Parts: sequence; structure tokens; C-alpha cells
Amino acid sequence: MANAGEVIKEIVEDAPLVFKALEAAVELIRTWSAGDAEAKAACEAQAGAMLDARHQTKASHEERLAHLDSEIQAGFDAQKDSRPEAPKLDEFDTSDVKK
Amino acid sequence: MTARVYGLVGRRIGLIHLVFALLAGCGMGTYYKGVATGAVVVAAQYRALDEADDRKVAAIEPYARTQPARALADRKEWVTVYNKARSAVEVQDDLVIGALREGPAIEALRDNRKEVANWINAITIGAANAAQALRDAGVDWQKFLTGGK
Repeated sequence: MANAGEVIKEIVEDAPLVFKALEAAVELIRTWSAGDAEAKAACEAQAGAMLDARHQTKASHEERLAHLDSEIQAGFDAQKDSRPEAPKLDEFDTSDVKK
Repeated sequence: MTARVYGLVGRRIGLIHLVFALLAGCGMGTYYKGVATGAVVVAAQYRALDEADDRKVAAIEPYARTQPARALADRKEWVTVYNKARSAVEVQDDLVIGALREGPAIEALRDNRKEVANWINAITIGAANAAQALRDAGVDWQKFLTGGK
């Protein structure tokens, strides 16, 4: 059985999630209790927020990948630089090569 | 279509399905309320996806320089999962915008019950598909449900 300290810790950890759920519930109830015209205006506002979230998500993703790709490229470049340079063709003894 | 929604609710019980199912088949005010709810859900799904993307990419970065081949493979794996999830959310997003644009035309119809129900049902199914895609990607989106502001 969980002791009081653990229960309190769980409640505190879950608090932001509970708060968000309550916030969502309040927002939805406010939208649903509105008249037709208000509901339409609320709908347009929510759609605007949704499109903002879409653009933000896309832009952040591209930015993150660009940064990650440059890091990966730097990693490959560093590996290439640390390898001993390949001998040039004229350094090989090619006398035994069948003509 | 309604039967399809109820079948869907049966298969994937969740608050989201019940909320939209309760709205389906009602009047014009409910139409906008349903579409607004769809927009709130999509905004939460985008925020959740953004947060997951930030976390996943940040987890790869520490070994990108030392193990680039591994980092490249992990990047590819995540981007595949991410793109699939984002596509599902974008479909839902397009449905919400489509429903909003169709609003005045539906409003002008003498009997618009069928159109209202069809749009709400389509948004319900889209929301369910997006929610499933996010679950498959390991993204918990419901904690991002807010007023959409």
C-alpha cells in the first residue's frame, strides 16, 4: 500500500495534467453553451489556433532536422578525416599486373 | 455512416468518440460546436507531436557526431513514424477546415441534418484515425488538450 508521501507525490506530479483536462473541459463547455453565432465565432478562433499549431509544428520539425543533419554530416566528415589517407596509385607496385 | 461511427466507438472506446457521437445528427449550432471541438483536438495533437519530435531529435543529437551512422538510422526511423502521424493529423485538420468552409452552404439548406451529421461523423472518424496514429507513434496527445488559444 502506498504511503501518504507517495500519494501526495503522485497528486503533485499529475496536477498539471489534471489542470489541462479541466481547462479543456471548461473551454468545451463554454463553446457548447454558446448560441449559433457565438459557436461559429468560437469555431473560427479554434480553427485559427489549429492552423497556427500546424505551421509551428512543421517549422520546428524542419529546423530540428536541419540542425541534426548538420551534426550527422559533421560526424561523417570527422570519420573521413581521421582515416589514414588512401595511398596514391603510383605508390603501388603494379609490375605484377597482367597487361 | 452513423452505424460506422458506432462500430468505431465499439472498437476503440474513448472519450473523443463519445463526445463526437453525442454531437452527431444535431442542428447548426451543434455543427459549429462539433467542428470547434475537432479543431481543439487537432491543435492538441499538433502540440503533442511537436513535443515528441523535440524529445526524439534531442535524444539523437548527443551521438550524432560520434556515431553518425547510428544517428542517421535512428533519424530515419523516427521521421518515418513522425510523418505517418503528422499525415493523419493533417487529414483531420483538412476536414475541420473543409467543414468550416462548408458552414454557410449547409446553413442555407432547408433541411441540413444529413450534411451536419455527415461532417461531424467524418471529423469523428478523422479524429479517431489521428489518435490511433499518434498512439502508434507513442505520442500521448490528450495531455495537450487545452482551449486551443
